Amino acid sequence: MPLWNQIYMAVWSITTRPIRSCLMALTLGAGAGSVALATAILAGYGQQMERMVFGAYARSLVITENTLIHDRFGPPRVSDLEALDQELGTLVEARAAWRTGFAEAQGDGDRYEVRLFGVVGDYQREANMAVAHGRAFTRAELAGAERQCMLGASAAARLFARPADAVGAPVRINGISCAVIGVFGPAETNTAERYALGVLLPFTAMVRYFDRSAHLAPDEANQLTVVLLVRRSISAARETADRILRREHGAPLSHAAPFRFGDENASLRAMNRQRDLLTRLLFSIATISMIAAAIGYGGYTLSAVETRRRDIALQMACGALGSDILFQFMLESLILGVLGAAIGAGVAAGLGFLVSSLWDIPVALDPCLALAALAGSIGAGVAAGALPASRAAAAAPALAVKG
Amino acid sequence: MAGECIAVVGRSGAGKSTFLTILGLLDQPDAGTVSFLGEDVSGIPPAALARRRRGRIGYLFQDAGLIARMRVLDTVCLPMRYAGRAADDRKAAAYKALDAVELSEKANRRVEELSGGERQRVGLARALALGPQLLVCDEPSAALDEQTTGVIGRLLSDHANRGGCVILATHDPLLMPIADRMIRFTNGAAIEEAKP
Repeated sequence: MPLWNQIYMAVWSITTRPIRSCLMALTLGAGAGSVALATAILAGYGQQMERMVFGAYARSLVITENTLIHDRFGPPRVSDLEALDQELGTLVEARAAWRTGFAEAQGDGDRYEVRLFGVVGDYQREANMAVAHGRAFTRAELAGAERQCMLGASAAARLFARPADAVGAPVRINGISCAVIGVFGPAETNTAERYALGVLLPFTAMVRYFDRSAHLAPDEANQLTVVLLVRRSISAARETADRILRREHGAPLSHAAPFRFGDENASLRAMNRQRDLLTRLLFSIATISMIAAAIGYGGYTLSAVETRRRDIALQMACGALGSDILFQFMLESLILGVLGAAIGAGVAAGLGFLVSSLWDIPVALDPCLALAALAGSIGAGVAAGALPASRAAAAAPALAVKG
Repeated sequence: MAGECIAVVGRSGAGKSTFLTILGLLDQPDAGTVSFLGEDVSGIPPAALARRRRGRIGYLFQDAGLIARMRVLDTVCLPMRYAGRAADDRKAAAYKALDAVELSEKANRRVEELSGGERQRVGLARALALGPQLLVCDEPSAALDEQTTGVIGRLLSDHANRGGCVILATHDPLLMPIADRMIRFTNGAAIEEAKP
């Protein structure tokens, strides 16, 4: 029998029993939807964790002084950033350096001890920070030594009754007046959290006016950060950076590494291992749902075959071969599987939106997941429909005689 | 047997329907041989049996044997669909068969919307649409009125006159006159009798 006729018969069989067909597709859809939703929640959770915990740090090479050894080669210098930038070239997305110290600060109320950060480069990109009030430093301001500062969200809340009023007002740091040009919004990443209780100043301004550190020379920083374009280039970048810094600081290869290279990727891997465990757990539950759906679908189909036994025999009396009947039932399963997948993807998207808006659970339903749900639903439908289809194909045509 | 109409009679449970099932290649006998168009088809696999009956044998069942949710036109087209006939051919042949049973105006109705007599006529249209060499009818006039029985008898007779073979299980005195020969089933044995 030509394929088109087979498709016609399968579609006819589905459309003439719309309620039963809908229930069958919904059964598969529920299974596929649970798999898609579970996967979407896990993907969303992973993305959010990565962003919250690391932000751009997940792709960053973090260089600090190796405090385990005291030698003449450290700490890193701001000028090292230029050398790193030149040699790492196309791998680099952003770079920043900062030094830190403590100071007493006073806004329109009491005095508090705050943490000062002298920053240079793309500090905002490195920490994934957004400005809530006022503005950020311009490149010229960052390179200069004006007494201007930006406040972290918590610092602004402590120093000023209304953080928005801080913009344009002076803040006295160790008794020296400094103009506030902007206030950061609440920290959303761990790296931004570092600046929440801090006062940020241009690197040179901090060195000139506010830093009482005897430990660091004017060009020296507590940390250099090089944000790379892709995470997988960190290892290669780390080797290059070690070679450059040794050269710049005159440290021979025979000497212990004068700098520490923070590998945020290792932390990320540890976190991902935990997420994988959770993934396996949630995926197992979703798979059980899919299996339950497939069993339910198989039951429905088997019952449909029993109900349609005489119709099948009549089709055979009219010339259908067993293989025609088998193919018709498998096509029905395939079509219902596709419908189920569409329903499942829709349900997953709807529930995902609901879950995301009601409970603030991150959900990321992407086209690949929708395709996986499609494949799962079709696979379950075809697998569960195989036995009933083979039973239908084995029906005796002589049953057509019995009314 | 071509061009002949054979009546099969006997009491209920005598084996008429089983005989027709085997004759129509819907089943195999437990013992003995079956020959169809000169070929011994005993013991051949079900798929091979299905290929031999495809397009060559038409059936008219006691209850018409229609699929309730199917449209009349689709019902008549069904054997032609399995025989691989082109869509246009199918439609033309189906309307011709429906014209013959005077039901072409109900081609788009669903079978379940038809009366008993109309269903039996649709069943006959389906059986005749492919012009089968053998037409097997199992009590086709049971529960039908005289007029419908008359129409069915005429169509069966026409088919035999066109060279087809009609085998008819019936008790209906209105259908008996169209039979050329009669086979009576008694105590499990078939006895051939002369024209009823």
